[in-house]
Amino acid sequence: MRITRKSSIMTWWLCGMACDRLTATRKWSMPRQCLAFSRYSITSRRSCYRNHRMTAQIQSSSFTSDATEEEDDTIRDADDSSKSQSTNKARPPQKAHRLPPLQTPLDFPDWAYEPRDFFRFEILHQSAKSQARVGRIHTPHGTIDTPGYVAVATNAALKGVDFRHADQANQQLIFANTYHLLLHPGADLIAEAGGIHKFTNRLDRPFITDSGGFQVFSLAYGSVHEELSSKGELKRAGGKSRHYRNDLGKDAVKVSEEGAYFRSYRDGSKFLLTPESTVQAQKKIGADIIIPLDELPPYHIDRQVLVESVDRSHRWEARSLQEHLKNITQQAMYCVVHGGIDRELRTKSVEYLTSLPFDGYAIGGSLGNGKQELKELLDWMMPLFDEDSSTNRRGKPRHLLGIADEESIRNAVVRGIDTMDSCYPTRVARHGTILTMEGSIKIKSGKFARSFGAKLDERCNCTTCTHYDRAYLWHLFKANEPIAVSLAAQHNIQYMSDLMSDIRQEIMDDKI
Amino acid sequence: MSPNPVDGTAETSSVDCSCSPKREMLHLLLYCKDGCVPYLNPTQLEQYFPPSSGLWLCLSVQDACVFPMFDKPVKKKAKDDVINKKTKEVPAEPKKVRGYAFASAPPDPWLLPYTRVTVPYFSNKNKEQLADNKSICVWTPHGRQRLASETYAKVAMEGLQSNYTVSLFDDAGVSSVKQPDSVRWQKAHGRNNLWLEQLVQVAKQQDALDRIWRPVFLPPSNHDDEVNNDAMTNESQTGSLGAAGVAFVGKWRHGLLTGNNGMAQIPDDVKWKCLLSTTSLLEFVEIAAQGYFNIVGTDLPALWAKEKVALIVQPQRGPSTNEPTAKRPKLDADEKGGETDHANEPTLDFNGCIDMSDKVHARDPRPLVEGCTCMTCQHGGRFSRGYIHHLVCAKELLAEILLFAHNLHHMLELIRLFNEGGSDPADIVNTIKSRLPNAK
Repeated sequence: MRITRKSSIMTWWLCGMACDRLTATRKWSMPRQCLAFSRYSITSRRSCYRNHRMTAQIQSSSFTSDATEEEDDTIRDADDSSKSQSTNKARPPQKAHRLPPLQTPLDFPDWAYEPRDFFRFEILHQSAKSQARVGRIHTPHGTIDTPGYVAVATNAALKGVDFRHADQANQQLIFANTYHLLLHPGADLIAEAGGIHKFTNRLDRPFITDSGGFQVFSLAYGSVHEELSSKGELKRAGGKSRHYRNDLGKDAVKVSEEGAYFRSYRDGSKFLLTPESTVQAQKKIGADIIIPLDELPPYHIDRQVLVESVDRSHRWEARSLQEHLKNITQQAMYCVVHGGIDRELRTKSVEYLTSLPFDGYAIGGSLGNGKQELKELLDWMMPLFDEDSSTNRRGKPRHLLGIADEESIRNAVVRGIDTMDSCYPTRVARHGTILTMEGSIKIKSGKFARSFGAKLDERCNCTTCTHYDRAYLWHLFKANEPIAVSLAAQHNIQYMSDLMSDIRQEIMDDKI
Repeated sequence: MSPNPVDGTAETSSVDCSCSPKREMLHLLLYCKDGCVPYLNPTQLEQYFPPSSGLWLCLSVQDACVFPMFDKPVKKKAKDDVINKKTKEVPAEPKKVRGYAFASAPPDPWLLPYTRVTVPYFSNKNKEQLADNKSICVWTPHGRQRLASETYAKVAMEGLQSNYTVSLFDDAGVSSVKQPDSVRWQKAHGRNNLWLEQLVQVAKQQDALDRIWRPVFLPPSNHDDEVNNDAMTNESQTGSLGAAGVAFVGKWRHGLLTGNNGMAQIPDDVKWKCLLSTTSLLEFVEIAAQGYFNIVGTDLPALWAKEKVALIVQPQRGPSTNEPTAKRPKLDADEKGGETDHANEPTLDFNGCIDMSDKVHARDPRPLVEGCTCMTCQHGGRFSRGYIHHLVCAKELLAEILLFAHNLHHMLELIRLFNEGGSDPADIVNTIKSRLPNAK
């Protein structure tokens, strides 16, 4: 390893410490890519170490891909060359495991490609100015106007808002997390109750459930914001130790080809989430739209690891689809397109997943670091869905996972996104952020204490704006009254519904 | 007051219904800790709890009328005018709060079309708080503040514009002392009378004397009975000073209405007799059954919702509708633990409530109460006990909202039963008491 004269004294000292530690532990050897040490900043060096350490862990716990044998040789070569420069002992060669082959469209029955009679997407109007389009999704429990916002009811309940009031605010599709429902009350109990519609007493509106893939990510890295800000640093395991451990006894998640091993945050019990089991759970929950199991890699990740993750997600999704086709039960399944911000991987993911008989497409994975990267990602990716193909990509709905701030909504809609979900409106409502046409306002600020008679949003006709003013909301938040959360959440949900309604009208008028 | 005949029943009732020959309409006074009904938005209130349901709201100045005070504009030297040494006024940043003060809140849109009663506070945390003839310390959401009597009079009469206002009182000075004839008690008593007189003066100026209620303090149990009688006599002999109503402050005890107790000597022209606080269901129904009070205050529905319990005990036997009771699913042998089904029934607490966090509700498809017409159980479809149990375990706010709506509905149904007069109040109390565990 070389350190140039330009490096700071701190860099010299840290490198010395790092070398001593590596020599002492002898756990891994530095790949060739890291030999040009001096060009890296301290932070990126740390993330580089951790990514390679994660690579070593994944390689030790999972199968290696057939397609990456050459890359394995490259890595081994790098290891060998680095070994000659370090004093580490040679590591014993690892057993090469064979991964199952990726399923092709021929592995699925012909009838799976035929249109479903219970799920249909119709395009009412295509904007002349952009890829935006107004449509309607027909499900067994009601219709969804698109572009539409999907509120997130993590535990089959919106925060402080009764579903009936959300429906009155024209909220159509509701998102529920399978992972949380598995932990409590359990898929079997929901099935006993007659499905999520009967369980929540929301019989005439549709639900969508995810697979739990996002929780794989969040348990390891924290929220998306935490991962981006920490530059890929893995979430510290709880307890006294600060080091990430590759032992399921201490970790919250462990990923393998079979599936993902979770540790329940409720009681610490372990369970395995496989592509098949997540589909079975979603069948029991009974949502109208379900999502196959996928892995969400972080933004800061080595490309080789990303490639493996995308391939694994493809294999999982195909397995989930096979399980789903065994008994469709009037449910539609969306695939989840991955690939981070890598154009090649995204294209490969779109091409592969759209060739399979999914009923819709969800854009998932890491969507970039910020709104600008998301916009650029959608710029070059969404036209892929408009290409003429035998699989009718254009005629299927597209869902953007986990993004629903106003600016991103507008960027996504003009590029052809039909629905998007986020817990943002209800989450920020809990903390006193009110969404308005003039931008979001922090109602806890003292300047609203005497805003008597001022509605939260002049254009809004929700129950909160009709009966209360900003001063009163300020007072309720300051007094920590539960109804403050309820009122704020109701307003934010109404705001999102009104926003999407305005956007649909603008598309109809060819304004966007 | 002529005694009412009490029907002979197998169970002896300790409720004394001999106080009032004529029962007046009973109302439930619900604590609204921040000027609003807890948990429910206006739409839900209008739909499920209209003003005609007998619901009154109790507002307190302690938490509804505290506002921040901001810095006044200060004069600063403008950067460009340093040479000329000119100064200009720079408005202070609105974010900097200088302190808090009680101020009037403008009428509506906060205020809903319910009958409202204003009190200075529901309870003061520190019983040793300071009070003098001019003001009293109260705990607000923004810390401890001094509430002056003139400020209270202005805020309560002009700001909140409630239908009725209880004058400022120092209950700590009255209830915390061991002997009512101590110096501290005498001072607190005198202070309360002084504040009442001040409020009456303000009300006379506004021609709103019929909106004033006088506080009367119920003697605590640690006082001697003889001393209590003297104290109550003193209270009653002071008179209402023209106030339209009397608000009893303190904990209710049996025997306060018997004998030559001073409470019975409250003048008859006092239209409203309100007990501000009740702390249990049995106490609530016994007081409602007596007929002496026509307004009973309570915070029990919200308290129970916070504790995740649901009131299910009813005065009628069996469901009030013909709706068949849903069959409970058979539990697995593992869950049963080899015991009979009775072991899996939820346990009632001393308030006739069931704990919704109990796992026995996890698979229960029934509503909280069969035949209940509340927002949770019946209106627009019902939420099952299993779903509410899930919400409780998931720590969702919706659980408290649903439980509060149900509990409040149930309490108002009890009020309605007493007002209808179809059943003997003693029977209602005995029926409820027979279903409560460990009820005396």
